[in-house]
Amino acid sequence: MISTGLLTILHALSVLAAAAVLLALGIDFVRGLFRREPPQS
Amino acid sequence: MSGTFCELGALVVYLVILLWIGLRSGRQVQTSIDYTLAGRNVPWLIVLATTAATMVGGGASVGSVAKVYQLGLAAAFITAAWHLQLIFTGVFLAPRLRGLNLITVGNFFERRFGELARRLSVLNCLVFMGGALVAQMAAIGAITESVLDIEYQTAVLVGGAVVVFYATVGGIRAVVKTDVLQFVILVGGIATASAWLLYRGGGFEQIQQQLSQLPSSLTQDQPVFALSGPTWSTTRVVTLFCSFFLGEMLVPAYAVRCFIAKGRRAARWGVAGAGLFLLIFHPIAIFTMGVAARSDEQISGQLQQRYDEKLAEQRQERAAELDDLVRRGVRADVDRVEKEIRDQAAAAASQVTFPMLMRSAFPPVFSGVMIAAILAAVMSSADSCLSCVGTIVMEDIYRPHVNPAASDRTLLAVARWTTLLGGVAAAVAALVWRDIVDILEFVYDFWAPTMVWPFLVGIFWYRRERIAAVVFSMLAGTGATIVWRFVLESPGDVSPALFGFAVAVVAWIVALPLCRQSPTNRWLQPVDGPVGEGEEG
Repeated sequence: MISTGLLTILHALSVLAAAAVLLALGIDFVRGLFRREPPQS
Repeated sequence: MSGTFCELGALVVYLVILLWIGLRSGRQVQTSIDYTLAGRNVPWLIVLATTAATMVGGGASVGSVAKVYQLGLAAAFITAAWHLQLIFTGVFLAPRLRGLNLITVGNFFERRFGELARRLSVLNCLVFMGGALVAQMAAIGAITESVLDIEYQTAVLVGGAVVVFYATVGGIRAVVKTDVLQFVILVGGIATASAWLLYRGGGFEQIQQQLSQLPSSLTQDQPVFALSGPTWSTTRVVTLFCSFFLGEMLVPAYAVRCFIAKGRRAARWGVAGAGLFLLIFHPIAIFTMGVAARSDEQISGQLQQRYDEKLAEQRQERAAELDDLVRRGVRADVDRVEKEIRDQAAAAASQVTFPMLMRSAFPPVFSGVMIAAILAAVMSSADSCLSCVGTIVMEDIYRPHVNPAASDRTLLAVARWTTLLGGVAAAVAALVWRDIVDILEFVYDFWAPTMVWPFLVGIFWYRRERIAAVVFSMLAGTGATIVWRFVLESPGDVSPALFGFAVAVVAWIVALPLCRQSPTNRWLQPVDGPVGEGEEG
């Protein structure tokens, strides 16, 4: 049997990981909006 | 505003956005490398998102929550094997593959092991990707039907048409962009849902207490909070874990995520990052959702009712077979069929666990977004298969066998037409043979025995004189899988993929002492490819 305390910690980590990745993608998206595309040759 | 209207509205908005992304990406496609590999210029964070979105298909979302509902922690635990596989691929294989500047898996086999191995690998890739594509098209229909009550045929036609459109117009660029959107919806939705459901249930301890008081006839007698039990023994869990680890390693849909990365570092961190993220996120999130559904009296009651209906349907369908067995007095066979009927009814009933949870936990608009997320999971796997089929036909069949001097413009047209026709053919196959998923199940068994060991040898222990041993191991692995699956019918619950892989490794070791010189046969001559170590990203 796995302890419920361990499961709670793992769950909190999973939510944090999701928030971190989504935040990183959000920052990347916003930076992309302000990035100038190099002129195509 | 009614719930169904909100859900349908969210779905329509989502499909329109996918079409828009397809059109927008199409304008950026100039060359065949743009179309098939996004110009090999994808940063690591986007590689992470697209790899994770491809990994979390219908099976890993709706299917896994349903399995956790029935079997508890063990079902969530074995999914960790998929993610560990991605970490292994990312850390050890992805940078080396990216450095070879490959377009397809077939290129790798040609450069390492020659024409015969290339042809075997291309056949394998086409069968695997084609089979997976049809299965995903059928999954679009089946999941939409069970979740939204939309007719199966309509769902395949609409969902399939959207996927085929954006994959044909925008190629891998559109696939990657839609994957990122699908990743955001899926991860945001699942994370929010699991956190809210855990809070609503009062935490794991409270859920555990509630579970001990509820009847569980639909669910198996597997303990919810343990890794093994009477239904899934430790041996079974270990066997399944190994099959999950090897079963999809470096299939074209993942291999292409290594090829499109901006450089070696982007390939490593993108693929391994996807594995690490999913390892932390996915098993515990689906476990939380599965047990939350199981401890919810209303949901478990509705699922039990659905189970009883499915059980009656199954019994009616197989009544003649059962009567025949009873008449002949074969008790063991009667028990086997009864168990199959119960298992199938439980699997069919529990498929709606995920959408039921969403509807019980959230207001209609949010549950609509989540229903779109479920469809996103299936579509993001289907589009990757479709894109790979187009690339394989262009690079591994048309270029070497039909028109070696083809211009880039012709190659681009071939890839586009193959994507279109492949998608239409897969949708038609899923429409005509609804049960095709059961038939195609066997294609998943052949990848590991034929392809994984040669990949590892080609990367870690490559020598020219070992080429014949590798080709022998590919053939031995395929033969062993056929015998194990179709003749012996997988004894001892050991999966054909695992058995075939073990035979391929043994065959390679046995053949090694016989291969002391480089082969002279033209079919076993490796071909030098364009040199390129891949820029650092």
